[in-house]
Amino acid sequence: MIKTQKLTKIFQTDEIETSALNEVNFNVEKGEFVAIMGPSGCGKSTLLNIVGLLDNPTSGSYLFNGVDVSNLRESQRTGLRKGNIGFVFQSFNLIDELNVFENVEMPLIYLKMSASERKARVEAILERMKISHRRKHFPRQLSGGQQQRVAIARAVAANPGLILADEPTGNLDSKNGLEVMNLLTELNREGTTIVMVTHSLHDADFAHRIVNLFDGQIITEVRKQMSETLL
Amino acid sequence: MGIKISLLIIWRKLRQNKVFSILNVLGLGIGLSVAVIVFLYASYELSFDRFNENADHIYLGVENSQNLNSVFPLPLAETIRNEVPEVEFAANVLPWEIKKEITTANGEFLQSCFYMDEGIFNIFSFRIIQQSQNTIFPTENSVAICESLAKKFFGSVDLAIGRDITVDKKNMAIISTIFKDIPNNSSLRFEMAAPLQTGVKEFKIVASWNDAYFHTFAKLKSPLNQVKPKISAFAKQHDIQIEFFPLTELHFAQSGSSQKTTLYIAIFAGIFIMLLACINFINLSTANIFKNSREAGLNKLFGSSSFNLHRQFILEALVLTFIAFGVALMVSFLLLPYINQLIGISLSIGQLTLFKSLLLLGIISGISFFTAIIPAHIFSKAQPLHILNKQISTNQSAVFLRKGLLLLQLSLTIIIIISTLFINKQVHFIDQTNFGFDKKNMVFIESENIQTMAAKYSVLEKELLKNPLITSVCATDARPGVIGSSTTGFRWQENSTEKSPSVYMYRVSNEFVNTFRVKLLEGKGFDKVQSNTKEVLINKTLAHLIAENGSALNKVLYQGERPFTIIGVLDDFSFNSIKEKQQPSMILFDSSRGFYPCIRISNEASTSLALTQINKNMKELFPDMKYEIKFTDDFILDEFISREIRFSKFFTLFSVLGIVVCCMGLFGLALFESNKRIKEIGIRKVNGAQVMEVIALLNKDIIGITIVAFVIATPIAWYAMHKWLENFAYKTELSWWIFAIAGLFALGIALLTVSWQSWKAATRNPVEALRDE
Repeated sequence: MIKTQKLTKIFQTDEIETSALNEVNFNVEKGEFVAIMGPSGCGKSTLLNIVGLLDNPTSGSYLFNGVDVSNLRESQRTGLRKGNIGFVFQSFNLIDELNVFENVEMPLIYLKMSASERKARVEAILERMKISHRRKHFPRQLSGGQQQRVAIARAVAANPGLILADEPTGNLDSKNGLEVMNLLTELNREGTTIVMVTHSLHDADFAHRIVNLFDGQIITEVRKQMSETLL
Repeated sequence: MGIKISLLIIWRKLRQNKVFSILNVLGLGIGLSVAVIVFLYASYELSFDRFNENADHIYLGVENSQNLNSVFPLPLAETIRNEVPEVEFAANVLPWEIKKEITTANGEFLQSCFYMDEGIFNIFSFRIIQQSQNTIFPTENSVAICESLAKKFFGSVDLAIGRDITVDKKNMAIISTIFKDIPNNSSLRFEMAAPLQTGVKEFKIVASWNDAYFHTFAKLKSPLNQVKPKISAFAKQHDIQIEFFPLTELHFAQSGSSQKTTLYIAIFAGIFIMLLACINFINLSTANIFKNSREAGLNKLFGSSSFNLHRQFILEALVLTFIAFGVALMVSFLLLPYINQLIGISLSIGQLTLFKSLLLLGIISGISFFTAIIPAHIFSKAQPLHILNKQISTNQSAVFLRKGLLLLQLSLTIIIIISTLFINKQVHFIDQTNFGFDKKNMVFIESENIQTMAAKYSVLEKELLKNPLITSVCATDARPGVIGSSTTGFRWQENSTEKSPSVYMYRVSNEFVNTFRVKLLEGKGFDKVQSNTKEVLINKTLAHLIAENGSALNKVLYQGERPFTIIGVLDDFSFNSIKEKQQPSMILFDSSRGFYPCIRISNEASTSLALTQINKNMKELFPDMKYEIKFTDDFILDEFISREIRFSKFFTLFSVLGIVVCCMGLFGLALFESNKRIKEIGIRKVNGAQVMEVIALLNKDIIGITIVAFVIATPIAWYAMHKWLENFAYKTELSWWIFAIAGLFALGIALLTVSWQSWKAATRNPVEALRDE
């Protein structure tokens, strides 16, 4: 599903040039659950952003579902992202002015789905996430765990094939964090490919494979069943 | 925190938020400059004639308050002074501006001169600088001139007094009096005056109670209401219709009620724009305060008192306000020359007295205080952590206030746009209006010596008519479109003692109907070969008065014992003012008063050739006389419509300034909103929103508010324009499409202004947006 080759990303300001990714070869099969780990500043979020079509690489190639998406324009990336990729963030990133229902509904609006279909789907997802009793509440009226469940609901509302999670339990206590990880695992079992950035070994353990990044390069990949080290 | 540190922080904030600061200061500065200009203009207009001592006791004689151009017979002034003891002074002015060729040691000058009683100088406070004797006009050949003329003729006042000048190359006159230049805000203005008797002789005016030529001014010892009965008795005794009209109300009344309306509209426009600027200021300042709430939160966290918090906000607002006031003075300084040219007066920043400046500063300081006090109060009441977590900026009442102010701002802007469009439409309409005679392809000759012109007119006419490009010629006693005199001396029943209303009189030679192309409704024009001086033409309005249900043709009018037969009835034509309703008018045949030859040219293409021939004829017949050939349509435009044109330009300028201020505010708010919604935009884009969808989302509010503003503004603007148009006898329609254009224009400007910010926000990389959060 995801295949990158010699993926490089360099951030340039007036004075400084930072190499965030350095010729990374990263593959994810359909239905996999992959965790990306590494110290702060190693390039995890950058890799996630490029995989999520939020950013373009400086060089290298990226095939998404067999299509080369390395140098797409913003509008093309948006078009491809819609309905195919869902996002879950550490800080939830819900829109404060929209209630729970409206937050979850948002990606479906951009998919030009009819109002009735949207309603049905959102209701089903909220029910599944056990948050439908809060559908008219606003984010500031929810706990952290509830907000993240809403964020996950929004991420899966459009039935994407891929979910990208950037430290999804980073702002949650252990109980809520476990709940979120169970949800992600459940989704993965249903066929959704998940790529997750995390600092937590506990969370990484839910994944089939752990990829370790350091200074913009993949240094190890560990499969859950068997180990494989790359240098 | 000390004031010095507070000011340092304020200065750094202004530098860091350059865009906000510039928008804020410039917007308020432009609004204030409009306020300054309107302030100066209103002061000028409302102070008209008030420089005169006891101005409230000075009056102009009128037949009634509707006819302020009334003229009276020569004996009136002296008689009323003698017979009504409460009349302290009464004096006549011949209201004709006569051009005189003046020769002095310094050269030759063409100068306007008015003939008047010297009593005028007792009534008006025209300050005498120097006099050769103890009276204004010691002899019949004395003249009084203003200070600037004295300097022009002789270099200085001292050199001018008592000196001889040559008038029209043949008469000698002595400068007996020099007076200070009459201020612009005087209803009676002149640079040179000569004794009334000289004018009476020059124009062979008969000193009878039946011939009215003069404006009469009076100064009373007592209030008018006490004198009124005596004046009424006087009028009855002398069989004359006269009232006294207050001088201090003359300026507005003479210019038509539209002048007052113009002033009120200028004041309202000024207030509107000032309001727009203040709304901008409040909106942008409060938005900026909430944006930078961290500073307030930290101050509170570390122990700042409520007083300090209030002081900081108020100080910041005051600094912005004072900078804006400086900008306002600069902008006013730059705009005033153009505005002076537009409205034909002389305003300057120097007229802003200390009191007025302090008053203005007080008003705007009040505004800035109000701007600062609300957020100061909110922050002082809030918990520090709430402030730091930005739980204040999403406060619903703050959002509501901002939207409400924006709605008000857009409503005012739409009102201004609609008004500007209608004012321009009306001016265009007037310009195209048929005044009842054909002003195109007609020229007239204005000479320096109208008596000489009249004497030789018949010869000139013959020569002109030899030219095939000239279709007809006639001469008139006043410039085309301007009525020279009026009278109440006519009656239409022989033995009737009933007073006739005031009738405008126009004395012409025989080809008046053909040359002016007025529409003849009944009868005929004056005979080409031998016109009868006992025949008159009248207009439809007078015909209706004479014979309401029948024909006035062949009826006889009487002036004293003299009968005049009505040989023709003309359609109404507008002379004197396009704002006046039709007045009864009559055209008399009198070739001895052919002061202004009027020449009908066959077509526009022939104009240049025709003018060449006219000039040739003039040079041959009047080799030493200065003259000017004027186009009637240009003259009418200048005489009657230019004020409206100037007003429309004046209003358009204000309208543009108002729109600029509004756009600044919209831009600033759009900037604020897009900054505030960075995170939301990033999330939407991550979840599949395209650029156009984000732009539509950001612009949605402004579209909705503009539509509501249009609904609010339309009836208000309709009413205002309806009232303004009532001042015109000829008026354009209040077309619906003007409102539509204004609404679309406002929407277009609003969208254009905010879309730039929306587009920037929508095309921003969502990763950056979410990272910044």
